[in-house]
Amino acid sequence: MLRELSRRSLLKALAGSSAALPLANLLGTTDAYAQATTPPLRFIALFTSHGCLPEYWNPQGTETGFTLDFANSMLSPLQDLRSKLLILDGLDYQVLYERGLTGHEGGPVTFLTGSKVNTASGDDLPESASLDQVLAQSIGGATKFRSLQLNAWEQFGGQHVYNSISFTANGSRVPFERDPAGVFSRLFGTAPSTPGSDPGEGTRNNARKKSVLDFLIKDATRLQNRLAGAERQKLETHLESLRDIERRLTTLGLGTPHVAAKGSVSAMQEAECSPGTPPPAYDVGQLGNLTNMPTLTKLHMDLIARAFACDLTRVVTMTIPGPSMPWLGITEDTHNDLAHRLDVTTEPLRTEIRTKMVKVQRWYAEQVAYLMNQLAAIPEGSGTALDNTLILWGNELGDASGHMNVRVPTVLAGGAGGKFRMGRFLRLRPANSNPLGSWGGPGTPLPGAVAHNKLLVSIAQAFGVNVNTFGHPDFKGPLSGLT
Amino acid sequence: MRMIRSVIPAALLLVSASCSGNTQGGGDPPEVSEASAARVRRITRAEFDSSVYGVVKNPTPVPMAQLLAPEDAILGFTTHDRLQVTSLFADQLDGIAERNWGPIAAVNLTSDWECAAGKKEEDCARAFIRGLAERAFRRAVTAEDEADLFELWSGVRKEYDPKTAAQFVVQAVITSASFLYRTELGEPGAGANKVVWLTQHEIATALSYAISGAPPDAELLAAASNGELKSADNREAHARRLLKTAASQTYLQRFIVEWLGLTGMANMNKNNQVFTDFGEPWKDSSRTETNTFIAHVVKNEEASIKELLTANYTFADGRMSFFYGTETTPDGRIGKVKLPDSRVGILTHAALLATYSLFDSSSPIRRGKFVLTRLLCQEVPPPPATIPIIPPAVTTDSTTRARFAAHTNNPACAGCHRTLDPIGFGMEDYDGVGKLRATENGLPVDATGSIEHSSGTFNFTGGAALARFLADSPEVADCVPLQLFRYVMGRDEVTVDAPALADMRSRFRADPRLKLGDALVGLVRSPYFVHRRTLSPE
Repeated sequence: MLRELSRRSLLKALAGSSAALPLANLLGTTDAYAQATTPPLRFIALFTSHGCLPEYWNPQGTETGFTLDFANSMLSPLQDLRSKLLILDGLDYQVLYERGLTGHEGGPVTFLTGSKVNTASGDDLPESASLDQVLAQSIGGATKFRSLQLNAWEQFGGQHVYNSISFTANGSRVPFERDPAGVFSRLFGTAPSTPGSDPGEGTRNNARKKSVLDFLIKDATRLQNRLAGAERQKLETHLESLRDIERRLTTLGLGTPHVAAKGSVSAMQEAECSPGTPPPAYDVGQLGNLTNMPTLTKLHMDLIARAFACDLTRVVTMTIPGPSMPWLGITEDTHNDLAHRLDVTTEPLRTEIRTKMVKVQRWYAEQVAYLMNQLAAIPEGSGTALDNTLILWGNELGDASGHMNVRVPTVLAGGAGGKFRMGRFLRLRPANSNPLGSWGGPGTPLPGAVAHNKLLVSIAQAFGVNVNTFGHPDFKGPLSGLT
Repeated sequence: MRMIRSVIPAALLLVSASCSGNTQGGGDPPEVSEASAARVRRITRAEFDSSVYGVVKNPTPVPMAQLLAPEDAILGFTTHDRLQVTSLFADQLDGIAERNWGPIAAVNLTSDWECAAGKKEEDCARAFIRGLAERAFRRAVTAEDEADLFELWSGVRKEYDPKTAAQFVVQAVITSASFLYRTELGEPGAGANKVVWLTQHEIATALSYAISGAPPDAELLAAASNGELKSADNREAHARRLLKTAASQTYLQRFIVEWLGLTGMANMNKNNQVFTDFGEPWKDSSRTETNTFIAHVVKNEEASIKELLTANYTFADGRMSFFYGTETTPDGRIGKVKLPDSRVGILTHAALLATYSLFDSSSPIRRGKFVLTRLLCQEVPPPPATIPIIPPAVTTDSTTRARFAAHTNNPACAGCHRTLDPIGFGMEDYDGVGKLRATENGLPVDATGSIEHSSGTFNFTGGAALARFLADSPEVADCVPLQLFRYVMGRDEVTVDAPALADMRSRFRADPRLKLGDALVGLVRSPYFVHRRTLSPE
């Protein structure tokens, strides 16, 4: 009886809200059914900083016969995962050179947006949305959360430029979650779980929450209708957030929780979907304590894997800084004391600095390997979740000592659902070519460069987003050689 | 009356709104022919906190929103007008509304939602809804607001007790767009691209958040309802009244922290092999010193920037007293102590000097850039892309100044660094954690510096001399109101702001103590504060 009532009021509520919404919900559900036979494709963008030493970063060997197992190899922790890597050499943040600001601050801004850096607001911001947000818009509607933004350790505090790689269409930073316990409760906390409680309670609770959302959407729409341009866009972002909450409630409320919706898929996968142990609660001080960063990094990565196993989201961004790495015995400032001084010529200082830089980058590579192995442990279809994931691991600088945004170390990892041909080391332009050699200065063309916008186009296309440019319109078409 | 109301509530409310004074100004000719663009501003986390207390009638402030995802900073300020309700923020708000404020409010507001025997429950619910929404929305409640919230209430009430129904109405109200956005739109219906007055309630709201980062109080709302806020004198009277509140003091303290770029004090990391004083205890002591001093200046010295920059005292515990080499309080706990002659005001605080330093050395460039951008409001262009920016390596046989001086020899760098570096060089008598030093690596420290200003160059030796010069500088006195404008208005200045800025500056500079409150009075008196140009659909 109760159940029936709630169900009826829910349907009534659905019928009552503005036309597009319930339709979108139904489509979302259908989509989930349709995808039940093919595992979904997911996207993870990882951002680490400091640039690299090309000779230790690049694999040795040929395109398909390469090794990461050599002295000082920065990517050596990924040796066993080579078949799931596509290492790109020669990708350039061309837009930064041709359209203004280069250097550090440009890197995190353009990495996923492909935009030039706009400083008109007094801060370094892009002019368009980041790839994760575009993908979230396009494929995120099938899952409870369109996207997640994670941060392993917040450098400098208060969403400093280094912590943010995800941007909304109005060029503002998408806030991130740095507390794994917070991520956990957001992902899994709403499941009705008290044993022995009234089985109708969950439905009733959803129904009243749905009533709240109906009001919130009406109220926000009224305000939106009074606005134009960028102001209107703010309310559009708000409404999207509300519709996402509504969508999550609706799928639950109709008695088809998402995992069940995939019903016919493997029982195996359902078994894999478990919240697992909640992460420990860290207070603000502990979250800010650098020595906790390795633990926090792993906790976040575990949550990414669990979220994928339960198909709660398909798009994740994560930044992993590292101002120093005391757990590796690196107590100096990684950036100023190591990365910027890779060209020191006096020995033994030179070797000392370069050896430490190798340790730093190896640590990052270990984290990528850890994430890949977590995903590889989730069976899915005839393979694993890793097979259906594309990880884009990027950086803000190329050659760190020169502060250059050319030849930015970029690695694609995972199976990418077969969209890209993995297991390769791909040179996008001739080895040792340097577009800066004949560059005329800011605002002039960067000859011979390979714009990273093309990679963003390729990834967008792999996810079914039909675009030919991404970010700045100067750079057209996908990157050749990936498929 | 009640019967009529339930029959035609919409019409009645529309009539009553037009009598409330809310629209009296709408049709009046504007006082200015140009104005900045109409907009909406999402309230910040701190503003959420200060706004929610009144709505849920909580007797004590409980700053819960600090647990939400932090705002980013634009121009150094987190109060900027690009803030949005993103997915994460919406989820987190939903969480604190459902788990915290909803249940708390249901208890706090018992006498508001409880229905006395003999009264119709629907009437009680409507009265509760109107009161709640009135407090939350900072404007007259419309018939649509009431009808929609009543529908929500009825839906929940069907299956739950009145308390739960009230709780869900609260949750909806405090997560609604009407609560989360401050509008600066003027009366609806003026047409596109027209200069209009803000509504009286919008003026009350803009004024209140500008002075105290909190929603308008009863007096201000009453003034809005009576149509009194078109008068600059009336606005000034309210501003002066609000400046005395604790909320305003908190809001101005936050301005000083963000203006001086001190938000990262807790995240500071230094090489403790170079700076043996540095560690968690030092970080806590130095941060507490600076925060306590700022609070003192705002609360007891009328937020005088002159005092902030020239105080010959600070608030130190035993650790900081020892670090500064000055007297200590009898029990070693934090208290007012004299600063040695080598220090003056906040610019020589250890926490500030350490903020503008590197991991293992001082940084003449960061300090110079800080002075130019934050205190003199000058722009420092980023280094040209063709130049590798490599801070010179730390060595044990030379001084920071000597290491950093080398790059000025490079003609491509010299253009900017000729201005930038001499300022920072003059602060070399403080090391990377702000400790006074006469030698570095056994070599004498050269702390001679110079700073260019409108009427020439000022040569000085040491950070304290620079601090004293800046405290008297007319350029600093012109810059502070601009920084305050950015903080309060949440955006960079544009051409149309020139008169409002001129008002802020002249009032700020009229009193040699340079009080922030005077600049704010100049702002809220300005006709440009209360007019907007309506939006044009694209």
